[in-house]
Amino acid sequence: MTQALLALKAVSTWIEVDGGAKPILIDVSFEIGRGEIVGLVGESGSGKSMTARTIVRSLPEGGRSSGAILLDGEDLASMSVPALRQVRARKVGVIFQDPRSAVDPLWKIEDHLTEGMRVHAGRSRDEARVEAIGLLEQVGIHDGPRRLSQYPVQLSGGLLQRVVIAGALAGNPELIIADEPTTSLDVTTQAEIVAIFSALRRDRGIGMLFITHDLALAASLCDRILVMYAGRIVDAQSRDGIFSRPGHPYTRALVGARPSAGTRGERLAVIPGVPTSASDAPGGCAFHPRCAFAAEMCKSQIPALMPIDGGASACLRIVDIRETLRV
Amino acid sequence: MPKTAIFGVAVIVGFVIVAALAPLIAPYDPSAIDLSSAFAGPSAAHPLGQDGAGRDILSRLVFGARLSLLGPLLVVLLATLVGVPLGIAAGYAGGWLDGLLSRSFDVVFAFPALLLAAVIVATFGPGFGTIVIAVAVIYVPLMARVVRAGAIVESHKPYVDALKVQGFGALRICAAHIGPNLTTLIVGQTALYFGYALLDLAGLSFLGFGVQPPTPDWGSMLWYANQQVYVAPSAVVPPAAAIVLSVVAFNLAGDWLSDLASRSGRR
Repeated sequence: MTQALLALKAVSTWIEVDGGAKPILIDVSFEIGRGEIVGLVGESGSGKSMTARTIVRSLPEGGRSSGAILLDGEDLASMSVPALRQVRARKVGVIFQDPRSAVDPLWKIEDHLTEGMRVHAGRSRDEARVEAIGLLEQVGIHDGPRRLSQYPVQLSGGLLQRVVIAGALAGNPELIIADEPTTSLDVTTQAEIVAIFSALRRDRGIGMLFITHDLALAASLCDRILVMYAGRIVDAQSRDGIFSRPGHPYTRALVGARPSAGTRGERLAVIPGVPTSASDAPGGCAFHPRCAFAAEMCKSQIPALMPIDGGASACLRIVDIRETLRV
Repeated sequence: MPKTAIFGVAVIVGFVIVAALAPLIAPYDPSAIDLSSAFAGPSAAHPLGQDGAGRDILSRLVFGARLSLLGPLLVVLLATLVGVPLGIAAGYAGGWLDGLLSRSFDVVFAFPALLLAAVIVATFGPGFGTIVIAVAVIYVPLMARVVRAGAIVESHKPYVDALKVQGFGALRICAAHIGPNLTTLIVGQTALYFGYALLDLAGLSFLGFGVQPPTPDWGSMLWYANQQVYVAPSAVVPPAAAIVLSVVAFNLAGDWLSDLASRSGRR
């Protein structure tokens, strides 16, 4: 069996506040293969971004995590700080939600793109410049030489996000973690950015964790989709499976809540209640207060992620639900 | 640019030109003694009069601008060179390093500034170099505390996280990113401190700790004139006016720069 590019094994994350521990992620395990794009979807506060931050060990103050995070078989979680810096510089690229705040406003695009090449790879200014123009080309910016001399404020959000993506590619990473990279952009730009990611996977074989709250967007780009609720992964399905046979009632409800051109004029379906974070989650299955299929046992037992029909779902009633609904 | 800032900058530029071109501007040798005309009031030949040793007050004022401006410049330079790195280190690192540095600053603040300076002068002997170092010791923690506050804000910005996950070390992030982003703040502080340091140095000179006669300096001129205030009251005015004017000018310029800093911080 080939080794996965990234494997999270029983990763839990919590924030230590005033002597107590506030859980953020609970027992999260998944794998990403080389050249595979895995989507991570969920509502605000479900722990999507914290998953990204846990992987690159960039947790906020008081953040702690347990479990193993294997990148190419090396455990990021227990790695020394100098080794971690090497990994961050060469193997992993991270793309944040808001490109505007992700770059130093005083630095020109050229300096932003070439800083890593010069510091980590020891390239000369001229070599790095040529390389930077090449990277901009790959993200669809064809007037590289002009852009390099500009400052972040002179670029639009979409353009700047491409620059950030180019910057994430500078170290030739094997894995890219994109945390809602298109949320702050308009829909047209969003489509272009998604096309860039597809091309990167095709041309460079980069594996990617694509975090979004947009199920349809995830389905258009990703090979597999993980659904997160209250700090746990509750559903894992293939791109097609997510719509044709959604496993978990939560995923089912999310799919049902999508607007569609065929149901014009009708009210959109909603999931009753409000999303919860891991720290406020009720006992038992965290989704039970909002679940249409909840039974008595859901209030006390915590479901584990069980493989079923090519996917995996963390639901106590998954077998019943499948049989009842015949899907 | 507000009118007050224009005034401040104009006065500063004026003083700097006077200090730089002192030999060309001063009508007499500032140390030339002429006891026959000691305490002479203003006249056509000596517009600001002569002091107790018959030295031309205008010439002494012009030459005095040199050390009177050089002193605060050195203080501010020292405060910046030492205080800025300490402040950034404390603000960026947080935790025990911040605790250690901040408590050290507090220890310095605990002493009345001039008393602390007097202790340093008493230990190392009076002189220009001693009072510059004595005043710099007070201004290093002042600068560091302000920079620390700015560095805390700056290091919590998302781009700093982004730099960390790109594998850049603390030293590089602080020196190449956080420091430059605090430039406006630091420049505003230096202008304010320049004025205060000028006042402190003049005060120490006035007490006789600083520049020793016959070298001219506004603080020591004021002390000398004050000794003979009942004989020649007008001699007090020129050095006092020069000190007040320059301190006001640096404060106005500093206020303006600090305004710019807080405005750019909010953007």
